[in-house]
Amino acid sequence: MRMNTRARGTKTKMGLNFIIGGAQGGGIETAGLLAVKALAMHGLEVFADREYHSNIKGKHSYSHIRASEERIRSIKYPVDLIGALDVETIATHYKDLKPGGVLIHDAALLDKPITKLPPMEKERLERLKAELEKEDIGNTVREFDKWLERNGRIVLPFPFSVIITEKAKLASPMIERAMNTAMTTLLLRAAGMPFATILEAVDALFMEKVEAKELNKAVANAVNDGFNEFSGNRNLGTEIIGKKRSARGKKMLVAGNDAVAIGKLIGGLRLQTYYPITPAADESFVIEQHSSLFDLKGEIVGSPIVIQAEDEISAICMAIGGALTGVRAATCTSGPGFSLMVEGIGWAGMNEVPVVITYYQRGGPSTGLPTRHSQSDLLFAINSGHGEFSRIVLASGSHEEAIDDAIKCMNLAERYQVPVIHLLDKGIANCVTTINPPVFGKIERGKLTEKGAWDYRRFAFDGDPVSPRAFLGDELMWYTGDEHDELGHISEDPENRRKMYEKRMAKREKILKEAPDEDKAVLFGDENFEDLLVTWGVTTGAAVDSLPELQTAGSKTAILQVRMMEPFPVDFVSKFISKANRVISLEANYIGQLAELIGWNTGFRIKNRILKYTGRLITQDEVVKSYMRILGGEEKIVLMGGE
Amino acid sequence: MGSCKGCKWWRPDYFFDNLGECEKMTGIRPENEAACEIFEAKIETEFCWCRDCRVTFHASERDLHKGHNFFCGTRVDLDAHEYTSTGD
Ligand SMILES: [Zn+2]
Ligand SMILES: [Zn+2]
Repeated sequence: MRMNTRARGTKTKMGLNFIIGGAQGGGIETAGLLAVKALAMHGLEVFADREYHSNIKGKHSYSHIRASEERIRSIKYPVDLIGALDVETIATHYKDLKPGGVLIHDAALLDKPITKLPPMEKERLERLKAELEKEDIGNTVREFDKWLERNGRIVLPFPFSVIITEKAKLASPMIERAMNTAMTTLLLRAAGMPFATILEAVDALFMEKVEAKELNKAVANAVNDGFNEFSGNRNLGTEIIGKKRSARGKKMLVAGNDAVAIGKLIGGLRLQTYYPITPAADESFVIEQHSSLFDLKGEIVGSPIVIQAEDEISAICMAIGGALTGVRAATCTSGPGFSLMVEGIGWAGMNEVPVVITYYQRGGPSTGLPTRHSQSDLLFAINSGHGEFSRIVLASGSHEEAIDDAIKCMNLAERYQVPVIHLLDKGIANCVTTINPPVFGKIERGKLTEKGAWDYRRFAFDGDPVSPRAFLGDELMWYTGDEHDELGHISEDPENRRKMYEKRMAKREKILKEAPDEDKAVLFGDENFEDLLVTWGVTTGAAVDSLPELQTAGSKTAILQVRMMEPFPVDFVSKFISKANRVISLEANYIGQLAELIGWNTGFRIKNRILKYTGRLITQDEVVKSYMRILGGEEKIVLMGGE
Repeated sequence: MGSCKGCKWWRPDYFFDNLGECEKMTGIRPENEAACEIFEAKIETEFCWCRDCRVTFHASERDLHKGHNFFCGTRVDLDAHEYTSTGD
């Protein structure tokens, strides 16, 4: 590696950008959560990516956290600070540290060999060994630290182990959490956060767990004393965070799973079915924790039921059953589970059932990369199932949208009586960010029949493709998987077939006609753009964050985030595409699925594609650099950033 | 006498292996703490914990861990499931 040895100050108005890494199962989650809480309590906007391995124990895992005075929606390299809880974190992330940046690790690691890393993947270890040899770095962490310092980084080996055993007098067996609290405390202190805020965050994190709370506070105190002693004679130059911001209204700190759960609860969900799968299951756990919903007067207004089914086939079928009885019903899953749900979704399409499927994409095929990000199921979500039927596929691009869309999807399902797929990704599911509290939107239940209607026909032809709906038990109706007449009885009559087929399919035009523009696509940046970046999902965040840089780099640039994927808003999207000099797609898959979808629908072939399929998020710096390369004449770029 | 590290009652932490606990006492201590009166030199038992490979190995696999640091066991935080992300 050629490292830039010019040490620049880490002082910047933009906030803080750092990584805390350690072994999976070693409490690293606690470290990330504590840091994120403290930063939010300090009044900053936060965006944190959690990267973890599907192997539960020992593999490298980390949180990449950004905080700023302005809203942030993505991660970015290089970072200001790295907190390494083990040698593997040092070996994995040292290249991510900017000149002048600070690496913190336990002084007890100093004499450990840097290449003896049992959990590290073979390929990565080979790359590391080659690097060490080329640069003649030596084999211990101590020698590695010296090399980093020669290259303009600041290394701070801190006696965490000593503090934990001596100062904090750790009696109970909680090394993991204590170590993580210690590291986070030091990182945030080194970044200039007042100690009081860190203590507040420890309080908030361990709320009811008194023993853990006291222990972690003792550890934090001991680290703070150590830091004060240490910083008395050495200037780290990392005063990044600054004064606590005054209150700017309430903020919420949520992961995407939480966001969807909140949206579903606000939107009147009463039945959630699921089979546990990464990265979707947490959503159901959050709903489960709120088994009673209260109105402002404190009266119970409802109790959602959460059922863990025996598999995803069962989960979708239970949700369909719930929807037929009249409750708002949904299920949530990721790729492998969705594969199993496909037959059920077809049944819902045939029987015009308003059911919501929350679909979190992860790396496939098969079980693929269970804990990693991907946007490679767009075409599957749109095309899954045999035969043709109307469905809605709505893709959220942020946590705030995820809440609103969760409500919206239930409204759309009932308004058009179609299955609705709420498409998300691991990026949104697991990233944690600060958001404004949600607005309580309207619940629209769609066309319902009056109770006791004489001669009720569930699939009535009355000019509108959406027939009045009655709930099971209220009227007489029949449901089968077969083609049916207005009552629901099986019919293979060609004329009925054509009419019923067209009734179901006509919903597509109706949906598009009635959908507001903001549900179809959102434009960021100059309306008189020359270059247009089209993107979707969590990647939108990296694009939007990089927009100011793109605009200084290129010509007039704008970003189009496509939200409604099916039915595809052809006219609305064409309007933007046709005006651009250059269209570039930006997404986390191999073929450029959004670019393909736009091609099929508009006839416009997007040549320039920026793609990533390593399972890691597309970062802000990657968007900027790859855009420059496109300006330089490259057509297709495959991104590789992140560990 | 050596340090805790060389004692058969020593259980290094799975992740932070310079720390650990004594099978016979409560509390976390560093591995280089001077040994106490119950010290017994560690011996290779049928199953050992290899710190370098982070695995438990059987006596029949001894050759695979030649020169590595072995212990008579390891310790894990029994609450780890509370704060560990899983993937399936
Ligand atoms: Zn001892
Ligand atoms: Zn070994």
